[in-house]
Amino acid sequence: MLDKNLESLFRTWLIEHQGTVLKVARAYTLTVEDCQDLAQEILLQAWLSLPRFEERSDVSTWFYRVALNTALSWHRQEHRRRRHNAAIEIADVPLVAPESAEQLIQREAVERLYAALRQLPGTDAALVLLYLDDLTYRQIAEVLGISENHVGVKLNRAKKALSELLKDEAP
Amino acid sequence: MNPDDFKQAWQAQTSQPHLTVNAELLLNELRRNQQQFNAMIFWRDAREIGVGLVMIPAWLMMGMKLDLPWAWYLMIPALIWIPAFMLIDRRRHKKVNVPSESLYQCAENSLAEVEHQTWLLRNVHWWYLLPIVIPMMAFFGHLGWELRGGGWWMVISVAGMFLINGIAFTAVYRLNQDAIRGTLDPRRRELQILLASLRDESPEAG
Repeated sequence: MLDKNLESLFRTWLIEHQGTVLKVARAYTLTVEDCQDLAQEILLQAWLSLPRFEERSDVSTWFYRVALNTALSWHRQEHRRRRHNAAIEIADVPLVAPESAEQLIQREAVERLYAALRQLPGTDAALVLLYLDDLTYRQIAEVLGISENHVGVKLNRAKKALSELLKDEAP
Repeated sequence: MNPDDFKQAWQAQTSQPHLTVNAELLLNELRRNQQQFNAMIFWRDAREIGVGLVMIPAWLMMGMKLDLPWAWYLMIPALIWIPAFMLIDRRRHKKVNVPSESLYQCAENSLAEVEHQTWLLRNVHWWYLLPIVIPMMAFFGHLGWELRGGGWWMVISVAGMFLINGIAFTAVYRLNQDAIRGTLDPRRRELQILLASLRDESPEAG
């Protein structure tokens, strides 16, 4: 692929898959600064891997693979932000209308989920993230590189661990 | 709430917080990062070959100018061997880790890489230290033998050189072993745990 094509493809995917990047970065970091650093590292790895992208792969599973591989090998101390740039910012968006009670409950539930995800072992957190984002067993198997049967077994175990953590944190 | 309710909440989540990406700035940053990485690789290789290329003629010239004995030139094979070994090893074990591979494959590749680095550092005395230390010791031994009429002063000087060589050898060796213990071993264990957690296909207990 030509550089220009790669660039425009990357821009398109950036818009479509930044949610994946943010979710993975949030699940594996504790502070906003670390989250920004990890998100940038994921995008760097995606950019570097883009020339090797095979058209037959599914883009969303490809993005998940890059994001999770980067997150699991990411070490805070080694990747301290070398320069502060405004390329990536994570910030709360001011609400235009007050949240409904249901929205508030959902938001709290999501925050609790992130807190629980951070306590799970790396691979379990990855499995739960993929499950929460509604990936099929086949897609999860593709991301993790394990058999579909094994996904089922591991996912049940991870969900059980997650339930325990959420039970402990219940207000 | 059970995991499925949480799943519903997860999927309905509003974009809070929001990730803002300035694509132009990000692409510039990514390009700069890639250029820096390529430059780093180039200069690292250039430095390793360059040191050998500069040292060999310098060594030869010094030997001729100071009319040093033949043992001085035993260092030349070491000056060729070390950069050649490093370059060949790097080509043979070129980093094959591709973050777009599956998590299992990526972890396996990382583990292979860490194990190779560990092997290199654990055997640093074979491919790096001894090829330097042996010709140096041979040179000082030869010098001591040729100047054996110099009395105790000469014996002390040669013994001092042997001692300095030995201390330097031990210090560099220990530094490398510390790097294995402090950095590579924890990383290897981390990767082994990650792989084991993916490999474990035993049916769910209970």
